Amino acid sequence: MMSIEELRRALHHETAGLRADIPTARVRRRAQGMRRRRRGITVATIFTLTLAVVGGAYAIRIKPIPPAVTGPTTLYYSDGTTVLARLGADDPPLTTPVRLVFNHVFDELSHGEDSPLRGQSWRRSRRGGTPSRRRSTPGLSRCWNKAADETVDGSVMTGQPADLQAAGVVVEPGTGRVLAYYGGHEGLGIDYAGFYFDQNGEATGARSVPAGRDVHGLHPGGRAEGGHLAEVTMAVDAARPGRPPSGEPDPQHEHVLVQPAGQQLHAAGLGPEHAEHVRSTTSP
Amino acid sequence: MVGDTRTRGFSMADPDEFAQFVSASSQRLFRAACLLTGGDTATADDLVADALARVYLAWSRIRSDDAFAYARRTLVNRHLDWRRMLRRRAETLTATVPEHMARGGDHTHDVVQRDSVMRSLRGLTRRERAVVVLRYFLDLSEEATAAELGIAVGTVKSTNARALAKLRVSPDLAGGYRPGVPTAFPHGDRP
Repeated sequence: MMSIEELRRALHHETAGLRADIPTARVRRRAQGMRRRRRGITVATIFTLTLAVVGGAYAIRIKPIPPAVTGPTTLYYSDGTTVLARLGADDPPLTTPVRLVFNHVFDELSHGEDSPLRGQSWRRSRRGGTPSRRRSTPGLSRCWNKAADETVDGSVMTGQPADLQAAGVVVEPGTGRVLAYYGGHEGLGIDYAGFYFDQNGEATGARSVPAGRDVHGLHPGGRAEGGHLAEVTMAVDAARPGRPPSGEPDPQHEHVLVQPAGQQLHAAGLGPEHAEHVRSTTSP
Repeated sequence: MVGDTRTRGFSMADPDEFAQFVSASSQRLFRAACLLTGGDTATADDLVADALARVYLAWSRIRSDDAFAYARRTLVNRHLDWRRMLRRRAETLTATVPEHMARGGDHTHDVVQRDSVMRSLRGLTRRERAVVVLRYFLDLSEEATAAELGIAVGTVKSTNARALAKLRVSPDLAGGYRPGVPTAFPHGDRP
């Protein structure tokens, strides 16, 4: 068996007779060739990069710039075909009651854990033409409409004074999805949809006045001072069409808010417990 | 400027000084290269010329340091360079035998012995060969070998152990090494 010393000796001994024929001139020629190649590579790289930059700039120049997406965001019922409303980026945010639902939706989109638009500004969401599906359940909305329409038998509004309006929105616990919405008497009343958390996470409500609506901050606790509200609880028949699919939580906000028509309304009429519930179900 | 050998960012070596370095180091580098290549003297010649050319290009930086160490490291790194491995797959035919025999006497035994040693080295991997050459031919320590190859000392130890184990069971060196006495013949017969 060969020892280390034997190996060392073998390596030295067996290469002792080898002679190199490497003149200095040959080394210099090779070095100069290397230098030329290095420079060539550098020049080629610069040339290639320049071409890439110029080509890229040209491609950018000739590439048609896609038009900015300015389509309105569309809110559908859960069937995906029935359009509840559309809202463009430049539309006033709170001009009709139904658009208040959008604020709920944007609230969900910008705060929901599973939302692809989480953290995105509302304006961008509105500009992006984002279709929001399954935000409202037609059957449940019909149920709401019947319940709030004083002309329909069984409505909680039946027999109420003519100056009372009803409005409401059903928000799915846990997800904050708007399952049903009723904009109030003739669509002008104030309701749950008038209450949402804005981009800053502040609870915001709408004040109903004959000339329109103004946005103002809610009084801590969800009820503004000076409000004159009545609240009626209604039951939604679970067997009716429009009930959320099996497995989803049952809607919890079976409330109808009634308010004196024509009188100044200062808040959305949510009690502290409702405000807390909405906050817990819509905020991340 | 008189005496300034730097031109356009490229450092030209002092001709006399560099020639002396080539003369003094090329033989040892060539022998190491022959061992690294397992006896392929043509490739060894190319490796040494390549390493020396790189020394020439870096001469102004390394002349005050250990230029031979730079050349040695360049040689080993070029030997381990995977791009060279790819290029070397093609067989190179030469018209003349590049190696020079030792003068005087009958060199048959030397040639056979060398062939057996080189064939044993060819049974090693490139890194194993590099470790053996650096450790036992160029007499570097394990730490210096590790630094030369850019690997850990532990890797040097394990690689060295594997290489020695292979050499010890190599049929060409099974009977030990005795200078001038062939330990085996390439094809079973004396040439």
